[in-house]
Amino acid sequence: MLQYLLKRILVALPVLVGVTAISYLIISLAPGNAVDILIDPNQTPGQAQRLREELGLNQPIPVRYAKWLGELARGNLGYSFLTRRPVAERISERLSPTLSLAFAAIFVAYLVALPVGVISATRQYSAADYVSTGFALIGNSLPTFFLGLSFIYLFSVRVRWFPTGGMSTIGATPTPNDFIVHLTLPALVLGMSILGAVMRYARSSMLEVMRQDFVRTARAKGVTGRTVIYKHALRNALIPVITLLGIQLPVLFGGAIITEQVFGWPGMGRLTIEAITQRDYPVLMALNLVTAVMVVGGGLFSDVLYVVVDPRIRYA
Amino acid sequence: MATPALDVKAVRRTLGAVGAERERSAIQTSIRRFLRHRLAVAGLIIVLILVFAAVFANQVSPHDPNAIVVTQIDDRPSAIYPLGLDQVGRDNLSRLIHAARISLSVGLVAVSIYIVIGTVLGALAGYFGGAVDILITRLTDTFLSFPTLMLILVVVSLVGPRIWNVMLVLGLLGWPPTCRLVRGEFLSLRERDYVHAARASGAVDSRIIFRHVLPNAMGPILVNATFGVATAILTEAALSFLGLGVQPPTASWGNMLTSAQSLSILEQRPFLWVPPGFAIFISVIAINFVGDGLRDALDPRLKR
Repeated sequence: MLQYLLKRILVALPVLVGVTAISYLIISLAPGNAVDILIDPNQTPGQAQRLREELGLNQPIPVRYAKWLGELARGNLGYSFLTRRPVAERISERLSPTLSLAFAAIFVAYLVALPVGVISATRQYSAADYVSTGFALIGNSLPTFFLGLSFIYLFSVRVRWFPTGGMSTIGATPTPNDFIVHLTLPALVLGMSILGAVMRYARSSMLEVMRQDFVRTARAKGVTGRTVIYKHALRNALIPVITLLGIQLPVLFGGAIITEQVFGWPGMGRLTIEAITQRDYPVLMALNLVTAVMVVGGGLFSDVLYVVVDPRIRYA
Repeated sequence: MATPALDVKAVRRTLGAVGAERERSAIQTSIRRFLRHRLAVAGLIIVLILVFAAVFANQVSPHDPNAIVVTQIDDRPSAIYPLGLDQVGRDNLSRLIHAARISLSVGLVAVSIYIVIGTVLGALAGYFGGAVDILITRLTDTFLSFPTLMLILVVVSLVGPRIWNVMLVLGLLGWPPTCRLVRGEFLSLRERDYVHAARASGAVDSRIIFRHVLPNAMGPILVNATFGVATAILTEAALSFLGLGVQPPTASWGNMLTSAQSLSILEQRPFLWVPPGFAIFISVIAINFVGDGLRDALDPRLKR
């Protein structure tokens, strides 16, 4: 197992280097650059040139890329053009809001989608099945920003149950209660956006498993319906769902750009938008890298989970 | 004694006719299966209405989408302006109709671009295997490791948020899943008997790829493309919503929602932002229904 994971990480390294190379190239080919945004209009061309040198922008792209990689190997993600603070610092302060939002959304989505998927599979073509698959389809087709705005309109403007955005009440001392009140709407919206896929996966993989021989055997030897479904079938049906989780986790951890933007949630998604509009390339590069690492990590994570769910799986 | 020469051309003609006959009946079966799928038919009708509105936007719209109305002070919905006036004073309904043109064309163009790229790369990887396959698969994996929306955002912001750029970026970055799908199809199809037969009778690789294998992989590709259009419409809407897609004054469903980020518009003028949101939702769900129907009609493995 450990050996297998090491091998997977080694295979992933060139992919990660490729990701950084491609994003470095794309970002460096940008027509405008940070200096245009940073200089104040009263500056002389000489001052702009000095700023460019200071930021290292006067060197050729491959040299800059090699330097960036070298610094990365030493654990240095670089310095933000804008705030001049270490990039790692800017990202890490955004990490915990993003992670709490992601976990809350996953919690919401799987809590609803797994049981509903199971019910809809065990009663295929029933009214419950049609309602839940229809619901999943609607969730899949609603643009996140429209859903977010509608929720704000309904639950923050019409009925004043939840705040319209942000992570805490301004001026108040942060309490867990206050945090949860702010977290609810974005978590629901983000959860809704992934819920449809989870439900579909759970349903179709349950359907597949329920047709298999061991389920029939269990039934034949007199195991009750509920035990068959939850102990025999569900466990085996979880594999594709875990694959899906491995795909969804990194996307959520990378920051739900739109949800965070709509709700003013100060996470990595908002940071992405900020870095884009401010042309803060070191921050963008680091965000790209962090998310790419998470994508690879998500794949590994689901590999490990497979073994937990299905002990028959062995990695050579 | 001379054996009568085999009239190769005649045989080919006959075989061709038989093949065409079979093809026609296969298409008929697919159409019949599609028509049995009621939601898919409903989706198709909605899509056709949207396409009609998009093509004839100028004729269908009651007003000029970019003209600023200065004579009307009340911006709420009225008989002349059924969906009201936007914050600049333009007719909201006309903008909604013209935006259909933008959204649908972005979806179609972007998906056409990436289907071509993905199909060619996937066909090469799946058909030839070996080093070509490894190279293309690695490239695909690398692109798939990018968080899609983030990469699109970065590139669009760099090349400048214009409608053509949005189409190009979505098209040039959207190919990896298609490539994967086509590669898989080719991997399984290239070992079929008819491919061996074609090769034995001396067909060159390009002929085998385009005349023999590709037509048999078209079903999944078409289904993939249909769902792709829905996704592309959603992505364009998201980009435009964030201000990084289609730029005003050109109306797009996404940028019509941008103004709703201000609480006063969100609160007091739902007639401005609810219709475009619904338009996105309806078109995406309709296209997804069509995709479902196509999958049932074209993929014999999924027979109920």
